[in-house]
Amino acid sequence: MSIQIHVIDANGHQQRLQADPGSSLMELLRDQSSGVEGICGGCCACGTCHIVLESDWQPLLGTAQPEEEALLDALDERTSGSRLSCQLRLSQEMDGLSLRIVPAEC
Amino acid sequence: MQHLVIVGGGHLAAALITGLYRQGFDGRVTLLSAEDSLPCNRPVLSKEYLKGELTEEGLALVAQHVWDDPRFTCQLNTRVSEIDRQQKTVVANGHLVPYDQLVLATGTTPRRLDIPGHELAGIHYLKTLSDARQLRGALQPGKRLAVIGGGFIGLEIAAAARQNSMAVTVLEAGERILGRVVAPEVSECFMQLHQNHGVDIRMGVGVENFMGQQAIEAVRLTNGEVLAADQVVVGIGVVPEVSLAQQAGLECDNGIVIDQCCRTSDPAIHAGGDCAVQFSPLYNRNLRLESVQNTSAHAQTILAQLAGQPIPEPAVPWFWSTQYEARLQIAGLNPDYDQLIARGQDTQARSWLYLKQGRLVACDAVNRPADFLQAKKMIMTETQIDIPKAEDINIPLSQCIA
Repeated sequence: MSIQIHVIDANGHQQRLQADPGSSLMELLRDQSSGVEGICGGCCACGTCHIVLESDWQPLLGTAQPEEEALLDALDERTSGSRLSCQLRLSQEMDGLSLRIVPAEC
Repeated sequence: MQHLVIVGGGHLAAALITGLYRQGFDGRVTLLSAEDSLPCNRPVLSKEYLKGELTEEGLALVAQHVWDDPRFTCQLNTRVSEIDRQQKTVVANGHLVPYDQLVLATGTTPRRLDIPGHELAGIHYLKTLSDARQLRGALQPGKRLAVIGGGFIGLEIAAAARQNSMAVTVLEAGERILGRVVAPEVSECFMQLHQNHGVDIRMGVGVENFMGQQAIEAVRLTNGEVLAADQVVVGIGVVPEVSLAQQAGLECDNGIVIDQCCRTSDPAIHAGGDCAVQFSPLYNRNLRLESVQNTSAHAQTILAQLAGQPIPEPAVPWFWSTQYEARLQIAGLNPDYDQLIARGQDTQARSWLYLKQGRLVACDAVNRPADFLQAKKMIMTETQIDIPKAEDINIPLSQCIA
């Protein structure tokens, strides 16, 4: 069953995206929104898929693994809800997820 | 209705097609690809895909809903043999295809090692998904793999093969691995990394010929030694695919020459990605880069051109490589640095700064993403580095400004 994700893209526009569970959140945002580049293809090497989760959702999606954490820590606009969307796989539990895309740094 | 034709089905084509779809492009787009599969994520082919951490479904670069749109067509197994710039047509598998705008995204081809025995089975090159599929099947535990060429692709494959319990030998003709891209100190670090993982690295040695009946059995080296091998991978660089552009009389110089707007010498033809040569204001020279980031920047430039919008600012080139637990991120280029600063001695996490007259021009960061991201910005602004501070890995790089 497809799920719905609420997105504020890099230009501040609100979007509602439909997605199927299973693929990576980065790919969904790269393909259908703006501001996520995902240049390294999802292997946690570039930091160009930075998103901020709405606070209610932060505890539900677990914590970042060390390699994601190291990259997040290096980003200028890191906040407590920051994640790399390539490390999040879409699942049924993410139906209704709300997030903001942070434009890729330089 | 405008017809945009793209020749070559790699990252440039994928980024253009996704971008045009999103821009609501009001014409038709045809991709002519010589490969037998849709554009896929190439850098992971020598890394996560080879190690079995990623499946083929995870490799697609263009979402299915784009291909479902009748304005976007992809013709696979299709070779373009000619461009007629007067008539604005290309010849694809012998058929004429008219275009209004043409994009050459022809990329590169692995350099062949056409020495005696090159036709034996079990000698691999890696560029396409179909190459990767074959190579993945060949990486079998307990078998012996000879990797010819100690560049990124060879070393990434060596790492994947070791993780699959193969016996691996890397043969590098030069005096050090990664000799073309990093400083000797960084080469040394990667040599130790591979040796610690049980790879036999031989330097200063070439390959005379391949030996075997039907399939590869051994490799004869230039020093006379015969090295037994069940599989061979050749990774000795790539050649830009420029023959089509050359035949059409477009300006080429170790690549298809493009301006800052990615235009070739014909205003109806753009080019970009690994096959293109472009002047870099930052490095004050012509550059042909083999990089996804550069390709992505070219795609954004072409998209802006087609939409009549201002082109994006030039960016600092960057690259990455994953080998075992080492995640190497490279920002910038170092062709004429005059000083190398090492940050930290920890083999697990360290970085090197390349300076020219005190200014930061490049950075190699191993498991130090903060150094990489900060270096990218500091290279762009040609920052003078405070060297004693930069040598202290506990001081963030962004604070090491002279």
